[in-house]
Amino acid sequence: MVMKKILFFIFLLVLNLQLIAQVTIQGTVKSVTDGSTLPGVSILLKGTTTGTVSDLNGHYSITVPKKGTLVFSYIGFKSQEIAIANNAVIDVILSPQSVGLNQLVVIGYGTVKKSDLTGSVSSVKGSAFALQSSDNPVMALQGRASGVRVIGSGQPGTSPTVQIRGIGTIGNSSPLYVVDGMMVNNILFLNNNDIASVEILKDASATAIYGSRGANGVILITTKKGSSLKPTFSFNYSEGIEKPFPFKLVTAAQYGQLINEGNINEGKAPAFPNPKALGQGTDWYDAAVHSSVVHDYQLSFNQKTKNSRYYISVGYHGNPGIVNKSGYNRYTIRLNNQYDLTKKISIGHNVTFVSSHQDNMNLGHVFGWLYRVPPTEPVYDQNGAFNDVGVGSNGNVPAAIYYTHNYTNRLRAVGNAYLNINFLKDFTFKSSIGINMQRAQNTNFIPVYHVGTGSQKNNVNSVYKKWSMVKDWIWENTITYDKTFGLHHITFLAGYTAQKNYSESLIGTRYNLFAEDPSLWYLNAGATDGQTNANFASTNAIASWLTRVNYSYQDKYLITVTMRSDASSRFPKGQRTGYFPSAALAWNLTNESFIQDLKWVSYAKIRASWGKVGNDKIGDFRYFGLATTSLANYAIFNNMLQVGSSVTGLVNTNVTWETSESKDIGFNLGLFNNKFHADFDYYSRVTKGMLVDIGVPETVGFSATEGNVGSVENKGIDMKVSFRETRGDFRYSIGMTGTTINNKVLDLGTTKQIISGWNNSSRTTVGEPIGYFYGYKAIGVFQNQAQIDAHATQATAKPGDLIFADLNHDGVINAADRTKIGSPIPKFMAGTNLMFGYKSFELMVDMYGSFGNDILNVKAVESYSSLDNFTTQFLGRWHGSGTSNTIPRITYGGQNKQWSTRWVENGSFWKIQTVRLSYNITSSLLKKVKIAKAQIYLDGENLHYFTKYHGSTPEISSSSPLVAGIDRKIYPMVAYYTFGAIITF
Amino acid sequence: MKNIKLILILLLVVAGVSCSKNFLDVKPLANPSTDVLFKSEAGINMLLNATYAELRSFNLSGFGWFVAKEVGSDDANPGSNAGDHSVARMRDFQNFSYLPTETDLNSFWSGNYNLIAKANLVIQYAPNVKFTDTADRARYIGEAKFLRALAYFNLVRGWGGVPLITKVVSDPTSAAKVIPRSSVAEVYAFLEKELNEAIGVLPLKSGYPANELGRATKGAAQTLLAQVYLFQQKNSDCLKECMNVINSGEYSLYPKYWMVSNVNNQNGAESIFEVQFQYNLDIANSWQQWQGVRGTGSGWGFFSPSLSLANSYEAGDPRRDYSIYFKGEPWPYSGETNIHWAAGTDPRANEKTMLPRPFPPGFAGHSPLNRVVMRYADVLLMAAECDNELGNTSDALKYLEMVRARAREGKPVLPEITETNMIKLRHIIWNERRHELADEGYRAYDIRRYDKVEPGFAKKLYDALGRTNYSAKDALYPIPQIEMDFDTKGVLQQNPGW
Repeated sequence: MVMKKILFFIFLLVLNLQLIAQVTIQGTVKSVTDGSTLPGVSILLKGTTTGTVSDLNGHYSITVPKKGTLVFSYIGFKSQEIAIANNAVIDVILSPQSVGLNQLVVIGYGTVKKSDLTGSVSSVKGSAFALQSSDNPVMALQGRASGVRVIGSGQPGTSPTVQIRGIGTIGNSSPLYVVDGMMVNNILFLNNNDIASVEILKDASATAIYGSRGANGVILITTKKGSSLKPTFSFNYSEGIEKPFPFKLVTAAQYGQLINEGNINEGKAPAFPNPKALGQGTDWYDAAVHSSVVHDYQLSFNQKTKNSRYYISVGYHGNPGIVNKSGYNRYTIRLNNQYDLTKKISIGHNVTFVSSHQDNMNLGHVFGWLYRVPPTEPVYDQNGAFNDVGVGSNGNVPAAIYYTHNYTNRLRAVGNAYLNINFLKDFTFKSSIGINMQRAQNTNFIPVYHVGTGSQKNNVNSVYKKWSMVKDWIWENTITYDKTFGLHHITFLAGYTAQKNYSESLIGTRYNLFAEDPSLWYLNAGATDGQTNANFASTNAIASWLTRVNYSYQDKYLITVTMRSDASSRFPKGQRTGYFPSAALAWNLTNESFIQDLKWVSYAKIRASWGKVGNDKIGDFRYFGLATTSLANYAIFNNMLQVGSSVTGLVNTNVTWETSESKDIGFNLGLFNNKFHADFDYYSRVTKGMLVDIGVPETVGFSATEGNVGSVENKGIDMKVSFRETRGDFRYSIGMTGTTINNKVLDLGTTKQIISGWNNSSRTTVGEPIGYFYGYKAIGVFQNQAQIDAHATQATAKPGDLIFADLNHDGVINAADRTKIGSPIPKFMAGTNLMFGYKSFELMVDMYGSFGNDILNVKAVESYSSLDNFTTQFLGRWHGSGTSNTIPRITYGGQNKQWSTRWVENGSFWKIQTVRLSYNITSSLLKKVKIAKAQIYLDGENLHYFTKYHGSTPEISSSSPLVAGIDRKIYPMVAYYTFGAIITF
Repeated sequence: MKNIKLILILLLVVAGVSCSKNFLDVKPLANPSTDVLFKSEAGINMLLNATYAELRSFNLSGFGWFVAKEVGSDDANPGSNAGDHSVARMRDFQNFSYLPTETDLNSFWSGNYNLIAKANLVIQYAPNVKFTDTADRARYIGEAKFLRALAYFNLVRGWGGVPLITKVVSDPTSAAKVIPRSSVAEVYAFLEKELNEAIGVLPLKSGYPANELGRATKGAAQTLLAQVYLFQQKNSDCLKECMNVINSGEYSLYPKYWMVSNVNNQNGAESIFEVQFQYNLDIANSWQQWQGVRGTGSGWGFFSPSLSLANSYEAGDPRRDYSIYFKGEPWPYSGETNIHWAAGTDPRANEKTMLPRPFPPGFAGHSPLNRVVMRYADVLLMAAECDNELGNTSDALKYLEMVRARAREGKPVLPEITETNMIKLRHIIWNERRHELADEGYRAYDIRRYDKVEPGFAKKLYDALGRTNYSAKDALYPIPQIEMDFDTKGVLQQNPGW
């Protein structure tokens, strides 16, 4: 009996010994893409909780039983399972997950597997933004996200114009930005390096969940979260030169010649007896525009532990601009942390604090004047003081810049805090409170100055201060239910959100400051005489319900239905609530037997969607009859002011949302084991109830009122193809995006046409795109009087003037012979993305182009005096029979300056958007200094534009589609040449 | 634990629902609404004041006014310098080679209708508001009617029959309906009715308290009515109104001519109605800032007196130097020399807009110099003209002499007129008007009036200046193209020849 027990015990011991018979395995984990070692890789003994993590050098060591399997997993890479067998050393090479179909795509209020996606969504990875030189991340979307049109501006600290799938309204057509679930109007607070991914929601199925704000598309930005199992620091460093593109104006000698001709043509005496003697003269563009250095630094910390995730970053971006006093610099701190309080409850926050300083350059004083100042005038006179150029009140541009002191300091906090509760196994409750708070302080000090004795002067100094604050909050509560029953998978979402926005401004001005030192640029330093003050505020609120159901059967048949109702304070009671439904169907052909038989097809899905979304971007109190409060309505009696007020305009008490009804049909294809990808969509969206000023005749005496009477249609194709391959040490990818836009106004109510633009250059009418250019068709230049006589009656025409076509064949050239002469909306945009990699080197070449859009070259036509300078294009003007058939003789007014095809140029361009060469340093030196990864790169952006356009840049941004494509006061795009490094330790 | 969570969730949801009721009722901040304006006595007063303020607008005292009332005549040139975009356009206008799209005429048309709309609000809403003193309400309505009449009188002389709008419609679709043009006779009948009503309720100039100096008076309404009659050649009605003004004893000529438009002498004894301005850096003087001498900080140099005007004065007429500031002269009233005129400008400027130096800061753009709309000298000259037409020659010569005597300043110039031939005296009086009221917004419409009295007068006058494009169609301005374009149903008829 005891013997049995002892034997049993020994048996157990032996058994245990066997079990305890462990072995220590070690090895190194590397990545196949560039051979770099991977720190923080999780190594688990399969089926147990025994595990470890690779260190900074990718090295691991684990003690495990002889029998078993080790599972190696790492974010973004395919997991590998390797049997322990009898190995003492197991080195592993992990491959990145291919454009993963199990990859999660962020959509509104949740995420979904790419294979389950029924809507049209473009994804752009964070790496595209991190290495970009511009301070606004949205610029990186050019050519990389199909369906998105981005028009940049060279001015630091400004938002580019963004349009998704055409232009949906004549009002505000910018998309909605959602950053980590927080809705914002601009993303100037975002540090490029903090972005993990950007999803662009394009069709109604994806955007309808945002209801009254989704009509212009939604850009969802997800910032980085803690993901690295080993605490990781990352330092991004970049220094670059931004270089303006040259802009050619004529020399003083040429200017003299042209002015003489102009004077003679206007019946006056020539101004310069000997133009040649004027020589080269002053290059005013050169005098004010120059290269400068751009800096961007960021340090971030990233860690994921068992119960929490941390991502903390600090960053600095500084860009002085290519003109003095147009710069912008920004400090950001970001805290994206999540804490698991229990297994089921977690809280977190994604918040950023930004402090920025922006020099407010007056675009009109610089880019509105540089091409007008005569080259015969020097910048400085013989005493070294600024020279009075005799043209305009800001003619000497360097002087105007010198005397400008206008800047804004901003402090901003944007972000949200959230609570996540998982309950009843399949339910998740999320409540989050988001805020957007900003305080901006603008100071504008104008000193006393006199440039010579002319009109460029200021006799009384003044200081202007504007304090404005924004306080927005949004509270969102959602419940999600996600369950798979056998072949069915269902996700159900229901939510309620409330949002309130508030802004207020306080302004004060004083004149006659005691002295002009910056320490006195405060109101108290000014006299009390003539002081003014102002204070105004605005607010709006929205309350919404939303719901979504995603259902899939067998992973093959997918359906998504969403519904949102928004009630907004912007609309009168009774018209407050809008309902925005959508539905989408998709057929995931990948798992169908007939597709599986085709070995070369690895993924195929076709989808179709329909939905209604809204646009609420109108003013806050549109339906109230507001009274004016300005001095312009005060009467003066006995030299004293008496309060006067009138209405600001007629009022429409029935104003409501603009609604966009959108349809989409498309397919996604993966071939050759997903080496080749194609995404193709045909979209069609019609905006109804577009707010249009209900035209009234001038006799009404008040400005037009607005009604929801307009309609606009946008149709086109939105596609992306890519091919990537890895062969040994060599890897490459080729990609292309393409978007077509067909924009047409369908209805404007009683308004026959909307006249807009500069000097009534643009029109919007039914049957044509928004904001097209309108004028005469110039078909040549009159070479002699006989031609004038032979042509239809063109009153006051002389030889050298433009020939306007007699479009209505009535024998007279008058206002009836004007027509559409161009459109600022492109017919299509395309981007190409090429990448070549060999071992640790990688070369990226991206190009982007816009085709079929026209630009109105206002810079060339604008002149208010017989003194303005000329661009070199004018050297080709007519100055005698046979000298030109396109550019007329020099005149300062008259018919040659009327809007005609002479001033509308083809704005198509193709640009070298990015060329980047990067190298991953893998030397053992790095390990000695405990650096896990180091990458250095050289980057060039906007290197060259291939274009026929004569202006300083073919990228013309605009504040509204009604004044699009007008080249006037444009801060031109610049080229960047950057050197940088990314060091991870 | 789970139950607690569920309860928390429900609470949150309930909280959300319950706060939505008042959450969305948001009132405009920092901005009053029509509740105040249309329904209270103070509101009506504010509406009335805003109507006066409209007279200061760029359209009614700036380019729109210059072009419609002076540049087309023989008294004024566009001014400024040749390369200026606006000058090229005004040259076309002056040479009668312009189109219905002409911007400045468009401005004047819109400006007058803006004034009409603002006045309509007062007239429309005042009757329903409780006033502490009903006489105030009657007076406000009378003032609004006077201002509205000013606008319609400018429109009918410029364009002929125009749409008669007397109410502001609030419903958008009704507002978009095009109102047809009334006939010239209908507009004049309306003007006569309106002004007679205003005369009935407006106080005399001396009847206003001092702090209301500048408001419309009985005398102003009578003067305007006299002008209305004169344009219709209703000479005896005109004379009757002129005599009402003359016999009221409220007005007298200034002792010296330079005082008729001078910053130190505003709203004085001779002034019947002026557009009021104030030295205020936030209020633009849209009349003065565009005139003056370009390059001196006194204005942009537009609207310069013409050579024709300069040469038309009688020998030694002091008014020539008080009306025209010639290049090379010392600065008016303060005498600085070596004034630098900008290149390419006419060597003459409207001296009635000049201010003595040194200027307070920001002066040209914000000076307190008022634009004189009507003054006593005009009443005297209208009386002279009507008396002449009616055969009361001695009265005509009496009033004519009153004006010339003041202008003469005791010098041996401007001999007293003794001509008794009606036609000859008529022309003498017309020339006297030209010299007395130079550049005050009379000439272009006066030429049209003379053309009605003596058909062919205008053509002969413009031909003599070399502006041979003048034709029958130029007796009226074209209805702005933008109005014709908006009218898709052909409700509006364009003026003949346009």
